[in-house]
Amino acid sequence: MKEQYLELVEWLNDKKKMIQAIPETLDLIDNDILNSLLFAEYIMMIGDLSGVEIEVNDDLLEQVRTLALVKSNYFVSA
Amino acid sequence: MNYQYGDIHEFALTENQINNNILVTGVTGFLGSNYIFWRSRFPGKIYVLVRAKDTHAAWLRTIDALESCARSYNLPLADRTELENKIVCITGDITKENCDICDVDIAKLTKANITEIWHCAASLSFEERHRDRIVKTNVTGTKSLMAMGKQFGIQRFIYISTAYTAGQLSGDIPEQIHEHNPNFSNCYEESKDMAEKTVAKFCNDNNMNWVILRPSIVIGPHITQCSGGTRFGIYGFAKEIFLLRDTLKNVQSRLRLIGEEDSQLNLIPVDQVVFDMLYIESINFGEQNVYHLSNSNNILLNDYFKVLEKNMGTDCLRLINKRDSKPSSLEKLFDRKTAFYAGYYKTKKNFLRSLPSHKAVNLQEVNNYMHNYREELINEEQGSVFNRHYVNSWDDEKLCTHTLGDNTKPALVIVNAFGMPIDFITPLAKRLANDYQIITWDSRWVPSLTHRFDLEKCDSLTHAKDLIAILDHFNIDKCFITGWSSGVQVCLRTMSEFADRIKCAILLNGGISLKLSEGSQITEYEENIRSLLPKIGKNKRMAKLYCDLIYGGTTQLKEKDEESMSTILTSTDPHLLYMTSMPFRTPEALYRYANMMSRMFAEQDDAYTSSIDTPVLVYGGLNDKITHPDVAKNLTSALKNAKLHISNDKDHFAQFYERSVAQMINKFCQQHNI
Repeated sequence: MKEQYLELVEWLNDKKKMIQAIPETLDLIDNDILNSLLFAEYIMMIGDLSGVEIEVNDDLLEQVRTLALVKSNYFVSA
Repeated sequence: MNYQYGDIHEFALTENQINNNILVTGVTGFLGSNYIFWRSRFPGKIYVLVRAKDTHAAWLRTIDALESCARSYNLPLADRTELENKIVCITGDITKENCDICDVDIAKLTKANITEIWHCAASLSFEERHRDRIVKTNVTGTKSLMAMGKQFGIQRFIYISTAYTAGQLSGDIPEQIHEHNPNFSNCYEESKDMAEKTVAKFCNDNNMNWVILRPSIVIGPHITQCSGGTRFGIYGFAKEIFLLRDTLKNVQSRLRLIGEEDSQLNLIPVDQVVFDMLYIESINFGEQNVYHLSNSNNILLNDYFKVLEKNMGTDCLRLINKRDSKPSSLEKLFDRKTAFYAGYYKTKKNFLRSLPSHKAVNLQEVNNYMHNYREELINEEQGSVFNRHYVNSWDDEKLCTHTLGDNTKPALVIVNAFGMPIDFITPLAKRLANDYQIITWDSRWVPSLTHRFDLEKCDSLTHAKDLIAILDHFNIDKCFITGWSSGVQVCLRTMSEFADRIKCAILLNGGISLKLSEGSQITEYEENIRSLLPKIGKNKRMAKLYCDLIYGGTTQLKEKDEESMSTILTSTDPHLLYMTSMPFRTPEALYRYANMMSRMFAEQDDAYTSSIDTPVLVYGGLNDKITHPDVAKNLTSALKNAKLHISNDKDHFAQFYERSVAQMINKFCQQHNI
């Protein structure tokens, strides 16, 4: 699971062409890291890499807002 | 009175005070055509000022409008010879000098003993960015017409305005010029108020009688309760709901419109408006200069929304004083699409009326109107513009194919973007249909969900073979082709595989598999789509997840979160939202579309250009946010026999909005018509 989580992190950093890695506790939505199509792709990457079936509900955003939250909610053993 | 007030049939049979020659403008429009439809039953010649290249073309436009009226009343049109004796067409344009009326016609009008001009023509545009054009038509044009009328000696000028020159005034609205400019909801209202003042001043300065008639919101004939062909007023709003109905059904939150809960509409059927116009003429225009042509009762806007939504199958509109949270993306989008109507969500006007009252339109009748209108829109949607055919393709799949125009003319195939409905290319098709037999088809798999989806066949060659099968079906040996967006890849594949069937091609705003040269750009949208769609196309669970993300499942979102979730719906031209959302409506459609697009992007790096000798015109737009103009530039370089046209200010939807694109296509085809 650690590998899959790191793959997600690497994917996101590449996507945003970040020079420095995105901090794990940075709010990705409030800081405009994720928007529009990229947000949807992010959700799919999480689902794909973690193997967890993502449910779209009121809790979803709070579960994915930071990489740290994603790690603890979806990549438990990472 | 030998008739009940409002009974236009009886009035036409018994009234004998109307007997003079008049000039009318706007006869190809809704109110103008209805007016002369009934006015032609009275003595006196009707001179009609029509924009057209010649008198014959003007006559055809006029007859077309009258036939539409006749259908809307379920009545026959008068005998053609009778109409030719009654109605005289004059070509002209009020926005041009001397109304662009030639000297011969001016002499004709001067001798015609015309007593009145009934000025029904107007620009119905309202957006601020069109202000100059709106004022030019509605104000300057009106003045030019009055000057022309003075020249040939008219006694009275009748100006058809709108009751909504009252702007944002509320309460009792008197039948008089609004001396103190009210705040207006839009440019249209303001221009009509300016025109009213122009009419009063010009006529007073030139000793000409004048009358201003102010209809409220005009709806279809009361006799039949159909729309009568108009798409303005409540019909424009209703059509927005109709077009978005599938998207709105999936939305889990309300659409909040800012207004007053007790706002009202005043609706008046067109035959009642025309009755008022004829009646006023029969009483020699009465004592006033200004008349409201309005209903004696108002309808609550909320009641109208309920009736509208009942007929459209939605339940999302809510009229509220204030949004207690920031607007959702869908609300912002809807606000933009219905900007014209926003000023009317707070309307509480009582239009004072000195004319006798009509039978009021009640809510049950409004329900009938909306029911009938929905039927009309469904019929239109199902294709009254095109002739529909079902063609067996190369693998026996049935393709829904559409044709338009004379089949003795050269064939021009329009290759639409994958998954997009025919509405997207209908304006282009109509503009070209005079010169070509237009052929297009619904791409297999999306929007044609009835086809079994076959991943093995999911490539541009399948669609190219579909195109050839369609040509064979219609016995067309060679044709012109034009493709838009992902349709360009299909055109390239067709030219590569079936060069002998294509005379030339015009490729518009292509989204293709071509590998671009160093330093070339693609749009952020294309970058995201190229990355996202393969993931969605991987399995249907991903497609379902994406649909859930777009259409909600989350209701307690912060503003930014809402934007992130739903901006895919607003990432293209908001006026075409309902069409671009088609591939995203269901997980199945999205899954197929994602595969069609991602496999297309993964095709040959040269997009098959190395084997194409056919003459090609490549078109791109500097404002295209979907497919970067660098793609057009690279494509032109890759092709052996291509020219490039980059528009400085057009976007991805130029082919939909701009006549110039059709003209460009026509010119290129004419140059290569072998």
